[in-house]
Amino acid sequence: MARTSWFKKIWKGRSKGVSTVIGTVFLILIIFMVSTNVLLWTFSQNAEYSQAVMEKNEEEAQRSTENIAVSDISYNAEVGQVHVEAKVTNEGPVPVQITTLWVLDNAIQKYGYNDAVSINLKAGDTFDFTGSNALTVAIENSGLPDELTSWFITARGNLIPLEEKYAGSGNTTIIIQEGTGYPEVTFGALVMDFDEFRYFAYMGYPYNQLINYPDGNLGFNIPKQVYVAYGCMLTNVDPSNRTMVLDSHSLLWQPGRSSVPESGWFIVNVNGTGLVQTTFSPITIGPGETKLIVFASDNDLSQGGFKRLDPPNVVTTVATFLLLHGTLDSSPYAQNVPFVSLFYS
Amino acid sequence: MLVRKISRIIFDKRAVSNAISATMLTGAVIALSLAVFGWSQTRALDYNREFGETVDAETAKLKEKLVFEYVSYGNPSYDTSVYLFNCGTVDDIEIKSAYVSNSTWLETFSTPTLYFLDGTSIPDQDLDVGEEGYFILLFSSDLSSGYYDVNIVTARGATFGSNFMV
Repeated sequence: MARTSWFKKIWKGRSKGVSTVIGTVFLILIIFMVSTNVLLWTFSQNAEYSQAVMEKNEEEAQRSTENIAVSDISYNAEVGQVHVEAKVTNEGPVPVQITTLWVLDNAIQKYGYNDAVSINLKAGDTFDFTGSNALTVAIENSGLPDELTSWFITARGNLIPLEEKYAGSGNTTIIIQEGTGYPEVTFGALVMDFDEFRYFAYMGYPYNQLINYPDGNLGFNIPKQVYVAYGCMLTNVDPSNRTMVLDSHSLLWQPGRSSVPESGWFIVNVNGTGLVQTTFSPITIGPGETKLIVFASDNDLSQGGFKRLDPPNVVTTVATFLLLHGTLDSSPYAQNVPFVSLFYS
Repeated sequence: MLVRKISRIIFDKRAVSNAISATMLTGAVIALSLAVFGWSQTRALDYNREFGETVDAETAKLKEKLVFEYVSYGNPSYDTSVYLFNCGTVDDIEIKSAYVSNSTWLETFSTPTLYFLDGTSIPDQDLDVGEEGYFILLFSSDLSSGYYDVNIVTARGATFGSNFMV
């Protein structure tokens, strides 16, 4: 009705206010369309962001409900590698994927990781990675009984400690199998490498010159009634990371048995050509360091001169002990370590 | 009748100028209204686009999640290796900057180079979902012993932090 009137008014020349009405209508239309457009778009974007927030909250909730229990943890090691054995149980309500294992050797401040771990656990599942399933982590220069800390990383980003700490005890003996050879043995602050035990024969002249030093003759069968010296590879694995100093009172000792007399080869210094020094300077073994220690003198070199020593003149087997004396940093250190058995023939 | 009407339209000139002016004014209003409508619509679309981009960016930032697997100082030298894991739900997390600080000291690093855990450089220099990597911070001097914060800022603006001891 109104629109017909406007046309009549324009037709009849009475068009005052028509353009105002049209302009107002357009203005209202423009405001309506633009605001609707913006509002709808804003609503959709807000909905999208709200959805993202909800998803994020959901992820955080799932992350916080991950609950992994680790039990029966044990570490075995070769030099430079740590094998971790344990059982993990998913005690939470959400499935868990374990992606990475980290091991930190606190004593030497070295670390390693195994990022090829792929353990998927449904709620209630247990995974046993013992024996051949043990997880291996390479850590340069690491060896037990260092203080180890380890933790898992899950796919949701949780860090799960396997154990607060593993501290090697100064009183325990730990067998470390390396390759296919004899095991190394950790005893207190020392690792002794059985595979590297050796003896040296002497040259005729000079009388204190070792033959084939430092390789010597690996093994435990010693020719009887021949002057010999002994060499042991010792590694300082003191859990407190202290420096070991061995003084002249250290020796390799064989107790007497029936017709076999007691014997003791005191520690000596040997130069690069295999010449046994007639005086003794204390030998320092740093944390994690391995050194060839030679025992050769019949006398403690702080109390007497160097004198060679020959094994018993009988075919027999004898026990051998390492009697070590010195310091760990400023603390006194002494150990009596049962070591190898030797067969004289 | 029809002839009279036509002839009247043609020959009767009364109020013609009013009709023409009204038509012109109406046309101008309509044209101007259309122009304003077009301009408003363009501005609204621009606003929508910018708002959408902002929302997308904020959403992507929200979805970023980096976990510090380990922070190592002094191994092998006095550098700090920062090991990260992208456990979020968005790819392409770039590290824009990192800074290490304590209560009295701050050092910043711009765009550190990312490496995979095997030591090879990450080609696209970002961490996708599920990827692990690390970067090394080379300090201008040795750090004194104490407790330090390490924070990283991603290209999307998210920040993540951890700590380490020297």
